[in-house]
Amino acid sequence: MSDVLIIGETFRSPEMRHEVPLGVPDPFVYLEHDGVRHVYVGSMEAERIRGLGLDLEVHPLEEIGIDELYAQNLDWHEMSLAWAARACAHAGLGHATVPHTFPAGHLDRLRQTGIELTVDQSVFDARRRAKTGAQLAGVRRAQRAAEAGLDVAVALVRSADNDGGVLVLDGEPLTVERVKAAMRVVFAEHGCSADDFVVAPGPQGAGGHEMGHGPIRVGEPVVFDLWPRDDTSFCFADMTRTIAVGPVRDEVREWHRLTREALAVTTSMIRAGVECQSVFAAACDVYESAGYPTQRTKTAGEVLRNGFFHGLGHGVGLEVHEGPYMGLLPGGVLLAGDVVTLEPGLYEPAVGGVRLEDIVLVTDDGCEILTRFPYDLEV
Amino acid sequence: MPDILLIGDSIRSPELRHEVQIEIGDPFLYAEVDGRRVAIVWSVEGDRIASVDPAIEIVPSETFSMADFLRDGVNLYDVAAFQAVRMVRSLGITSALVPSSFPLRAADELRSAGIEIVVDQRHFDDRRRVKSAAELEGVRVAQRAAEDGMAAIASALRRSETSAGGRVLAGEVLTCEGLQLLATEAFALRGCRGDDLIVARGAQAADGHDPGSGQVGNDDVVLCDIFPRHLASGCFADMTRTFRVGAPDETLSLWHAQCVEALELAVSMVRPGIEGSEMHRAVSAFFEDRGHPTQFSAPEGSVLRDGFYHGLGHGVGLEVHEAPGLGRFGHPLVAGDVIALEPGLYRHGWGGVRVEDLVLVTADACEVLTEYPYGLDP
Repeated sequence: MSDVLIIGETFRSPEMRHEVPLGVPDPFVYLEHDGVRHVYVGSMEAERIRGLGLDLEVHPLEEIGIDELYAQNLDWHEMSLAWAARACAHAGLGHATVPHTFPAGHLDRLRQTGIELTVDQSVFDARRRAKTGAQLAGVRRAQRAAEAGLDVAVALVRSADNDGGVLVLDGEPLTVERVKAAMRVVFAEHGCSADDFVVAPGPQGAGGHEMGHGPIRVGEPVVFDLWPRDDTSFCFADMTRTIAVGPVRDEVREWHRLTREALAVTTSMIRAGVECQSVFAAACDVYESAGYPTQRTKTAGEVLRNGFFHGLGHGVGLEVHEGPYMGLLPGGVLLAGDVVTLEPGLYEPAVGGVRLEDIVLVTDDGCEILTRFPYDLEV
Repeated sequence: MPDILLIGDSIRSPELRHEVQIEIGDPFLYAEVDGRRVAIVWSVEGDRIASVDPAIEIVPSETFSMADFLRDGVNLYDVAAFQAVRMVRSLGITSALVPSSFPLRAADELRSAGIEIVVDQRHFDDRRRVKSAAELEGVRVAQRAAEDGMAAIASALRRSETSAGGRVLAGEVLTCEGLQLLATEAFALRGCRGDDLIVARGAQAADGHDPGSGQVGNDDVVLCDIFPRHLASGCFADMTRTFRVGAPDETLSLWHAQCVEALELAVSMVRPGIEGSEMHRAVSAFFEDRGHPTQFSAPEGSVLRDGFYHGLGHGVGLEVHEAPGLGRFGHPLVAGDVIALEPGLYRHGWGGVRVEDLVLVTADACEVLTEYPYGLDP
């Protein structure tokens, strides 16, 4: 076992959150040396981290002479670099593996003091592939929140009136912004929160990550792509449905049929040991045989904006996008315990898009589908 | 002007969000070279950036072919690092300033390709000290959300009743978690979210960042430190109030009055040019005069958990804790800084009081952005 070093806080660093599953807003040092896990942190946080009851040696910064550093009247950043270096020296760290996002500022300081750092993200990714019980429970709670949010959105668009082709509710246009606010409240009631998310009507839905805005029109597909985060475990869910009020044009119905097929075909392939690339390839096969372009058919360097222009899926856990990746690049094989999304879609910039996304838990002989929500296009 | 290089996503990197004012969830590259501002990003995101800031030149990342990586079976993380080198070379950058959080993998790869990477966090902090109009507006919206959240908590505490096990509201047990939820719902209606907001009761209130849990006691202190983020701008607000339910407590009332007075003292000192550390020293002296330990009175190397044991405040913007510092070390304030001032008094194992306002430093003093009474009664 080689030594490990992480510097960060637990809100933004999934590597740190995995080791210290608690909200700690200011950066601190976590390291593993000779099989012992050490945390160096401000004394205000030390007791909370001890309270987790994990096998962590928690050192308040007074133990490594933080007061001496204060006496030197250092700049804010110099200070953080200096105490992190002291922590590494205190633990006797000589060489450590760090994640690829390790802060370059600390790198330069630590290398000056003779500590050797090697970037190997695979070490940290591998730790997070199989979820802990608490993490998996968190993913499930976040998934329930996503479904409850979408339930409310569907109820809102269903109860709206058609006013010259635009949805209207209680005398005001039922805008994307109104729908999102109602969904956020539902997320909160489920102990979850979210950054901005996709509710993209019509042509906005062709933009992949266009978050959506403005009025919703009758007969146009609306892409709902939601990734609430459970605020206890910090784990995400991720789901997408495409919903239209009133009849859509035949073309959109055909996209939806093909996308359901791509989702069904790829879901049936999921089990431990299957190659990530082969699952992506199966989705491409469905679309290409119906005449739509994919990342496989485009020429090198071409910017593809229609057809199935993105990857098929990704891991979900402490990050909404994490390994394994099921796309064009080699992503290795799926492992039992992976939570992955499958999100095939078809797009045409002038019209919009259709995307469907479930999350599944990979098992030895198949998978458990964690998403419980109908696929219906027209509501 | 030195060239600038940022790699990351604009949700987690405040440096990137300052330059690219919308949420981009996956990592991308932003550079400033010879007066050009360039984002190399998936075309799908490029359209979104172009629609909010036409001054940023968009180069679709798809134009950097991956055919050779695919042929050679290069893994994902190596592809990202190798692509970064190609992108930086295509821009003609030979030396660039980066923030402290710049990803090490990319830094190593760029350096071994002969590109100089100079870490200078100060440069990026200084860019964010004076808020843009959109950022300041975002802070104000987040502050309104915080006040709505605080009002929702206070209202629930006011309406709560005593019972054998502690406080109840409408027949339900009133918990810190339930109060946090009320605040979060209020945030949602203002387009804001809150991560780990603090609604801590009793002895939990003594531990700065304990988020709080469990049923509120019949006679209890509830410390609420809430910091919603306005999603559209990415900017935070930060405010704290402390409430007492049930029978008054003499010590708590005295400490609360002292904290409010300390906050008034701190606010009265705010003007451009004053050192953040000077304000912290003044408030510490105020508390020491009233018999409380502080960071200055505690023996070197000791772990202080009572009295005024933390710094006076911090900058607030795209991060909830950012420059300027207002603790034992700090920065001179500049007009345009948004700072939180948060004096507090605690006794470990017993409880504590903190009050916190957000202020905007102006040309000659400050504007208090927080509009909420200090009262200990909810």
